[in-house]
Amino acid sequence: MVRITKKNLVKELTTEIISTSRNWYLLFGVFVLVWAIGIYALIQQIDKGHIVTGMRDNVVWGVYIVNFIFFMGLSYAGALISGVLHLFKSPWRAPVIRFAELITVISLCIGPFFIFFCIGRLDRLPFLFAFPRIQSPITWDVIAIITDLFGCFIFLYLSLIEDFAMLRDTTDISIKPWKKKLYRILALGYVGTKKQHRLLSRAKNVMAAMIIAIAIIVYSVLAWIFGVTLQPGWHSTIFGPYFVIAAVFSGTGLLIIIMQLFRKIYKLEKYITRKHFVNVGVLLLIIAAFYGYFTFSDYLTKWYGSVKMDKILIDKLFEDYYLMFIFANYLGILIPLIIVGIRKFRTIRNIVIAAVIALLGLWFNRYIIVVPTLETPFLPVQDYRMDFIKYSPTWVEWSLTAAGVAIFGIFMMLVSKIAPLVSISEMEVSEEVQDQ
Amino acid sequence: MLSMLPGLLVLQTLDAQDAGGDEIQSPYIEFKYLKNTEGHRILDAKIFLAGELGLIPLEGLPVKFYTNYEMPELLGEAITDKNGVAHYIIPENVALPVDEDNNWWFYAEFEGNERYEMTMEELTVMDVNLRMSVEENEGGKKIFLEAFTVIDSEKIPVSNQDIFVFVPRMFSLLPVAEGYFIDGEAEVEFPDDVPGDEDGNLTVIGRFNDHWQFGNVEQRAETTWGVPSSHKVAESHRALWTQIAPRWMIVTLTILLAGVWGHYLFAIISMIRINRDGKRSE
Amino acid sequence: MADNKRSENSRRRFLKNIGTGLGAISVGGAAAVAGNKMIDSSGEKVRVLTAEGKVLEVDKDALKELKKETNEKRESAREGIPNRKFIMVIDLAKCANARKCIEACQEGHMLPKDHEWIKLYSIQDAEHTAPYWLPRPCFHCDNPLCVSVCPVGATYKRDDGIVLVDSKRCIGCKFCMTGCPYSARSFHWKDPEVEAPEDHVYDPELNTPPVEGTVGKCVFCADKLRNNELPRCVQACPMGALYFGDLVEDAITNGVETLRFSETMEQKHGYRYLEELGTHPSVYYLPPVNRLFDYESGLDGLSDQNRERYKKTGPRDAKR
Repeated sequence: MVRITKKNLVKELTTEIISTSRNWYLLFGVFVLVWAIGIYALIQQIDKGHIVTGMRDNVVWGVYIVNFIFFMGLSYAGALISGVLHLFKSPWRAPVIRFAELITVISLCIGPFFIFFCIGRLDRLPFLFAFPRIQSPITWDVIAIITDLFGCFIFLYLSLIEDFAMLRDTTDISIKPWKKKLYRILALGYVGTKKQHRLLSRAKNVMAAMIIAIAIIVYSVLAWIFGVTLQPGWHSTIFGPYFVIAAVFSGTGLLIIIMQLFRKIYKLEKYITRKHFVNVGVLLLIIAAFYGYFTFSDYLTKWYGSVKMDKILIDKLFEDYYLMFIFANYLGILIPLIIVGIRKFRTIRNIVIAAVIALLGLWFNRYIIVVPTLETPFLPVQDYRMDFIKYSPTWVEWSLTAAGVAIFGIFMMLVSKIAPLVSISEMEVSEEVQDQ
Repeated sequence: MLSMLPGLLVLQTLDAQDAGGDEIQSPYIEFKYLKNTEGHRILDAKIFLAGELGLIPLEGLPVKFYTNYEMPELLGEAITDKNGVAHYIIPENVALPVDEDNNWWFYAEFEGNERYEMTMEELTVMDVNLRMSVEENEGGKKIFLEAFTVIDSEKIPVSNQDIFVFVPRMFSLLPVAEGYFIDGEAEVEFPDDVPGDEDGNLTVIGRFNDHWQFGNVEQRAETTWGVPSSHKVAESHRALWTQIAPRWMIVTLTILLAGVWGHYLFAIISMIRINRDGKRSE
Repeated sequence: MADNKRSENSRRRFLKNIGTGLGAISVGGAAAVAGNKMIDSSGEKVRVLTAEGKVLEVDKDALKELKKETNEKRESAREGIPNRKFIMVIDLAKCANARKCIEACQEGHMLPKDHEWIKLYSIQDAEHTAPYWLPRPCFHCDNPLCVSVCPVGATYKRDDGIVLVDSKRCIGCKFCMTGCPYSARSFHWKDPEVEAPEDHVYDPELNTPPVEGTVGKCVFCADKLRNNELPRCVQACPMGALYFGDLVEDAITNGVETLRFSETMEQKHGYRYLEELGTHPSVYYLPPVNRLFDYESGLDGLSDQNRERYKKTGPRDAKR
């Protein structure tokens, strides 16, 4: 039997599992509606061809690939918070690790779909597995993403075992019978024996280390999809580490936002306190500093050397993409730095604002990495069609972007019905530590 | 045959008539004479339209070949092939009449149909006998050419004329050397660096090429004067763009994957053991 | 050309139909017995002769046969013409933006008018250098980045140097398009609305008909090379600016004159475009020295659309 000694923990952290409010259905409905619009857009695209998007012969990768990189980057929330903090055994991590792991797994599920949208012949997708060429960075990416997804799922599951066992055994709250049965299966017979506990904790340690490693590999491989080409702006030696840092940045930012969202919605103020926000905020600050350093380093060397194509690209960034560039690479870095850096500004609300700006800035950062390079190829674009000269995303691409966010919400909401959003077992451990 | 003559003369003087259909087009004829290495006299008539994107050859059209300046006689007929060329070999036993300048006259005529107008072309050629011999010694590779025309059974050597030496390439003939006839003889030095096939075999062609007087007259010889050339990519060649990846890539990938999935296996086995332990405890 | 192929097919069909009476009896013993079937088949379908000389009755069995042949063709297209290494030499002194190369290519490969596998650029290398016209086919690089990055092996480099695309394997990920530094590939964004004839065996060497959602590019007219014919653009160029040949044979020709490749490179200082990228193209350029036509003649007679293209839009575009 797995018993939680603190009864209030169980009662407060399982509200969503026990009952569903009307607001839940409302929000869920909104998400499903947005998702449905995205599906309609996808059908249009499959039916009429990719001509309904804004992509054309020069800018062949647009908003879809930006979203792909972005969502894959969000998965770093799990790798960092769950993985690193688990290995460091930081006590304050307890309330936030579940969110982090969920963000990781869900965004890893969503990300690859954006590649699928970008692929011209979806019916031939199995060819990636039937005729793989291992010299191709896309094959590395397929292998890496599958590995990462599998690993993060295992890690998430391992951390849920104790909670499932507790939910299976508890009599403090009333759980529907079918859910009880589900927990019985999912708990894998965990009853808290010494041996089981040992096995579980060893497995978790191993997987924590693995997902850090694999996360770095996955994101580097993704960076090398761009880095190994010759295109100006992409052929940069720093891309591997740069993308990893940017991913950690985006993961941390999303974590802060989700923490605040769910804290407010599910009334978890007692468990997720200002201290947590400050701690994750400090992480955000450190990462922002690194990210800013890498960005500066990349552009400084390009600008100073002023190789012809680099110069043309930088000119384009400062002319056509001026606002995006300033937002992504100045505001997106400086505002988090200032807010978290200056003690006076460190309120929960400000930190969340900083996280929102950081996240948006990162999306634009991906955009100005992908699109302007494709608009300035080595051979000049000499065309009479405006849509071949300048890329402008269409409603199809925006709908599918919104659908991606909606699916994120849908998955989160569905999971909240089965698994507690704050890890009860971890909370118990941390509160025991605190009591002592 | 003789009944064709009045028709022919009429056709020569009249311009092509509009047949009344709106699609009728005017093709062109390119008419060439070739005396090949075996001495066969060949008439090639190519019929084509001058299209926007180049020449459009016309297939399946009948071309009649005539000779003799004063009274054209029908030699034979041929149908244009898929390249638009009507190919006619003058039989060896046919003696061709010469005019006062010792030239043969040839005509190629397409009589026209409902789609294409009639067209014809004429050609004058002086028959020349070309002989070629090849010799290789310490002095190098040499080609000896002899050319003479026959007037009233008298051999007249060819003088002050250019002759070219070609080698056949994939799409055309490549000129590699040049000679000049003096008193019926020309000596040409063949260069050392002409690529041949894998074993160095090379066909050498001595040819009057589109000559104003002689037309095309060639003599071919098989030699081993070519530089042996081939282009083979080893099956075992491994690079980024080959079918099979470089070895180090395969090794690295295997090690990485084995390492990571090995750990996953460990975690899964742990979960199975937890499950088994749980069953036992019950 | 398309005309030729159609007439060739119809001639073969015609001849075969004449002889078919005898053929049918020998080929379709069973079909002859099932008299109805025979009449049905010859009534609604035509007996056709494929390039391999097989007689096909276009029905269900024929479709399977067609598929098998298509797969064989796709396999055999991966092997090049033995002992050849194809190269193209473009004499920039002769190019006057006539654009006949583009039209011939589009016609031969059933391309929509806005797809250009060979493109004409107006280039000015530096501020004080003179502008010139640059025809750019696919360079069939010896270190082809496009081939390296293809995840499914839909594009491949053959031993004779030609890089082809297999439209039946391409998944449309467009990685090859970002991999090519010369922007030589184009993507079929929508249904090209081109119908191939019923008996058409897909041949990557000709790469028709265009397939929606796949990548297409110049193929050095590999289908014509099998018949010792020059590529379509080379034949169509009215200025004779495009030369094509074989590096092994050391000869190039534009259809009118044949030159030794090594001599031409030496005498006219041939070079490759953006050599420092390390792609090792198979297309060489002869510098625009002693030009036959001045740059401005390339702007004469252009349609408004094309004139629009060459308005200076960037620092590398030529001044008008």
